[in-house]
Amino acid sequence: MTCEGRKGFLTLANCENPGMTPCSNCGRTMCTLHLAPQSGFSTCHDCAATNPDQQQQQEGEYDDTWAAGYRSSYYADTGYEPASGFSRHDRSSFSSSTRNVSEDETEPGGFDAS
Amino acid sequence: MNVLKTYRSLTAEQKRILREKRLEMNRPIGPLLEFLRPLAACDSTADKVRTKLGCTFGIALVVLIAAIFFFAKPWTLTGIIVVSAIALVMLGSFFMWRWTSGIDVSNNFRQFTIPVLTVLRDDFAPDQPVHLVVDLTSPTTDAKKTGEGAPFKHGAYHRVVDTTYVDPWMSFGGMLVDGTKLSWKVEDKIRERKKTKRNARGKTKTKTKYKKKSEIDVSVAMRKKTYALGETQGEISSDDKRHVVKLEREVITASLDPIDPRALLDLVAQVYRTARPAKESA
Repeated sequence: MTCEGRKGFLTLANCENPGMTPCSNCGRTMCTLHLAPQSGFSTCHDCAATNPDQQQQQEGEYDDTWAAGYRSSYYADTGYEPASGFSRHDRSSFSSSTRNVSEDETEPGGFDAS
Repeated sequence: MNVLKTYRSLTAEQKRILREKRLEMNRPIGPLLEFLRPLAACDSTADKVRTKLGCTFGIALVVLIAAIFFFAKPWTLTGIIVVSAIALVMLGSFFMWRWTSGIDVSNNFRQFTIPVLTVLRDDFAPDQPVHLVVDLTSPTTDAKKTGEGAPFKHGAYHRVVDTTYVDPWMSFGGMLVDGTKLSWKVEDKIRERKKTKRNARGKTKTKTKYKKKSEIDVSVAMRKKTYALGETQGEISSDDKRHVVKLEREVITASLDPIDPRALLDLVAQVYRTARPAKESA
């Protein structure tokens, strides 16, 4: 079974790592990357972000759990609906290691980097 | 002390960045954040300790003066030991305060740069370097001063002086997982107003107030093969491969505190809201 965690902010993608442990709160199967260290790797980042004790612990620490909480509240507040469905295959197709990247595509877009 | 322990755990490159207060890096987003987080943690610890050290210095100074008066006539061995101990505490806290001030970096780094990169981390292509430049010096250093107006009177204040600063403190560029090229620049324009008045008891009081205008320029260059662009705000252009949307936003605040990361995220999200998969549109 694959991890049911999702990654991204502007676009969402399935994690697709092998799932290891179910989240003790929501029951979704997660890989270790999608389990919150501050919960002893027992809950996923989304659930840990809604736990006030853990929120207090991580105040000022911008880690993956904070990012999951920020993403949820941003979507809820703004109504933003991320494009989804970019699979690992799609993502790797944009990767420089699996295709020839032209010079145009490797330089930072829009602005002069200096 | 925690701050010393945190500082010692940094690599030579991280320590150099804290000393030089300039960050310029080309690394994939994951390793970049791993490199930056200890710097942010060190700054956070130093900020907390600095306030305590300042208070300790002030209290020790007052106690030292009182102790000198108390023990001075005549000096005894106990008196000398007590006064020396207080003087040591005072000097120690002063030098530690100076040292922590030396490694202090602009709060823009910890409260804007790190949160923005953390939120967007999984959107960046994991194996492609992103380019990040951050000026970590204070926004009101002399080097950033652009002008000082002539003193004028305003109400109860007999002397008001405006000083302006320009702080282009961040630029960033990188490739997202969907092939979009995302870049942004943030520049702060600051007006520092020092107002001096004399109160009823004849004391001179000076207040310093700030007004900051943060200009955020964002460029989102989406692949035409992947996205069709709907109606969107900003300057739109296109070439053979990409739709390029350039957006600007100004955020005005009455303090030097970092702006909300959302100001930038909203701009980028605004472009994504109007984008549709190219296949779907075709």
